[in-house]
Amino acid sequence: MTLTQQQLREHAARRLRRARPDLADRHATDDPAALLGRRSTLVAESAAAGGDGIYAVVVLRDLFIPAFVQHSWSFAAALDPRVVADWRTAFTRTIFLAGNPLALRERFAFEHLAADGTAAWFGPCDAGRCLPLRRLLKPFATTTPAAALLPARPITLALPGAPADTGSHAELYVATAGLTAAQMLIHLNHLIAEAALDGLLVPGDSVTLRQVPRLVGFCARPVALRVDLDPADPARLQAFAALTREASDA
Amino acid sequence: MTRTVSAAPRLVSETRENRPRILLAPITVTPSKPLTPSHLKGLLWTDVMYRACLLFADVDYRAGHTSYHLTEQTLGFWEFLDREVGDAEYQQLDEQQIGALYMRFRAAKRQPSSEAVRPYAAAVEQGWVHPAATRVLDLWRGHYAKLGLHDPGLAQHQPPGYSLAETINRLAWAGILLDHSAIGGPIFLDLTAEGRPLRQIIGADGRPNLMACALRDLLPLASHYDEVVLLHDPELAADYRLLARALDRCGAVTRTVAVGRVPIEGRIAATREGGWQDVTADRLLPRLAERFDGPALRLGARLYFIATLGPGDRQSFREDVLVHTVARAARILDAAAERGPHSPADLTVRHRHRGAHHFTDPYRLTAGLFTRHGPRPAMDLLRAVFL
Repeated sequence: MTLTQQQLREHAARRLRRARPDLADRHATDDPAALLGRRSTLVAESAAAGGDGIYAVVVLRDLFIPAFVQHSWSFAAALDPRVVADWRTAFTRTIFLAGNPLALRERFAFEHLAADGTAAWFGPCDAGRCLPLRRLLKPFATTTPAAALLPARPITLALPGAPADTGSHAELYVATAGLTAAQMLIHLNHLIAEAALDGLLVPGDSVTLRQVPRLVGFCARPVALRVDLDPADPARLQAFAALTREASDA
Repeated sequence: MTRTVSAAPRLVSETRENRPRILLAPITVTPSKPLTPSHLKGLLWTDVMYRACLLFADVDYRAGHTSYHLTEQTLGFWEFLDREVGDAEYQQLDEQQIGALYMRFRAAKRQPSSEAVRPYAAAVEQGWVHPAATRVLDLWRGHYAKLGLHDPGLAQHQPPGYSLAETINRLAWAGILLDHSAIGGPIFLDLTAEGRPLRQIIGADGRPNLMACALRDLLPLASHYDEVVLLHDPELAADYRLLARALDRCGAVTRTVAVGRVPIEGRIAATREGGWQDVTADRLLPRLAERFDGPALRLGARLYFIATLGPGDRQSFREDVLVHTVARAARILDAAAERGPHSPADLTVRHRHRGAHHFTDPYRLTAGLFTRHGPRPAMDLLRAVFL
């Protein structure tokens, strides 16, 4: 089985329903642009209504993708359910900033801080609370291709909170073709955070991280999928990351 | 490092051990255009501060252009000239004509690629200067001489004491660096632990900005002085606060002094926007020289740009007021010549000097000395500081 446009549309529609059940049934799910355009509109509406909406902030001093996956999961898995509801409504919106968490922790109460100080998570909260952090720091930017920052070979990591291998195993596929590391990070972060919120990844699970140019010929059944518009053809959708319980033969 | 040698007389009343060591580092003007009234004001402020401080301190005046040739706007301009203008006879052009080319470059808006400017950066490190800049600096030296300004080595190769790599290492050692170059990002000066905003100093493409150039130049020098004084435009105050703080974190004691720009007909405009053609140094100084002698011109310019205009930027440039002030300076000089020297200049300056810092405030000194009805300053002080 491969990922068809129909499957991608269903995934995107499911995510929209999950985030905004009140509005999702109002539109057809067969037009990708309308589907994802609707998401942008919703984010913009919430921004207009409440300043800049609710979002999480990631502060990066350094970037090692396997550790990022662990921290992104740890942050989302530990969130208060009341905050989770609001963050889902904002499609787990996350802003990435360049900064040194250890220089900031006395001023900002991070929800999650990497023990080595390389990364920290703040929020999710409204723009007013995030603003001082955004004013102090600069947007995270890198021109490095995604493929260069992901481990060249598959690497298996354990999710903290329970003895390793007490959970089950998952495969995490990340697309790299045509993406900078910063763009890839956005896709990866949404997938991991939402998998944590949905209980698809739990403490003690092991995850094998694999990079692929594109998720073409993808044969495994995905339990979670990151879908966005195809940058080359906005009439189509593309899968940018996938979580499976079995290895794909692709 | 290059120590500049003072031509001004030292009237020493202190033992050498008690003399504080001061590093004076004004922002430099890109040598691609005529000197506007704003530039003249900054230069005259720095000169009075330098010469007043020399009376009681060991002062180094650091304003070499070598370090700042490496900024984007200078290297980009040179690359533009060679690409668009080619083999011009720059020795035949004046600063108005070169300034017009600079305006063309800025209007083009197209940023040269890092590959295009790399050969220029490499050449600057070796001491090379584009003939257009050499020509402008040459013309400026003439204006400096007319105005009695100390030349901090406009035409000299004054390379920064640190390489870019050494600068980065020094900042990292001080714990105020955020380096994303290994992951394809920029390098930042990081004073966020003090609540100061993160500031990029080197782009993802490896190109340093003005901040990085200033740090390369000043970091290796700053900690050897009792006080570092940075003079800058108010528009750059936020950056200069960061620069001063970075130097302090590396062992220096740094003060910043903002000198307000001079509006032309009510407008403060960047030089690249033009509109300055008739009031720049090359036009203004010959007109004044026709009516006044050198000493009157020098004292008058200092009185006008320092005491009359003051530290702010409220008053527009007025040539009639400048002329009137130079005429007044001529009368002050005539009266001083009749009286002859009396109280020692260094004591006068020290008496005027108050505050937590070592440096002398040019505005307080000048405005205080030349009040309409107060006692007139003695000739030796005028010679040491104002002529």
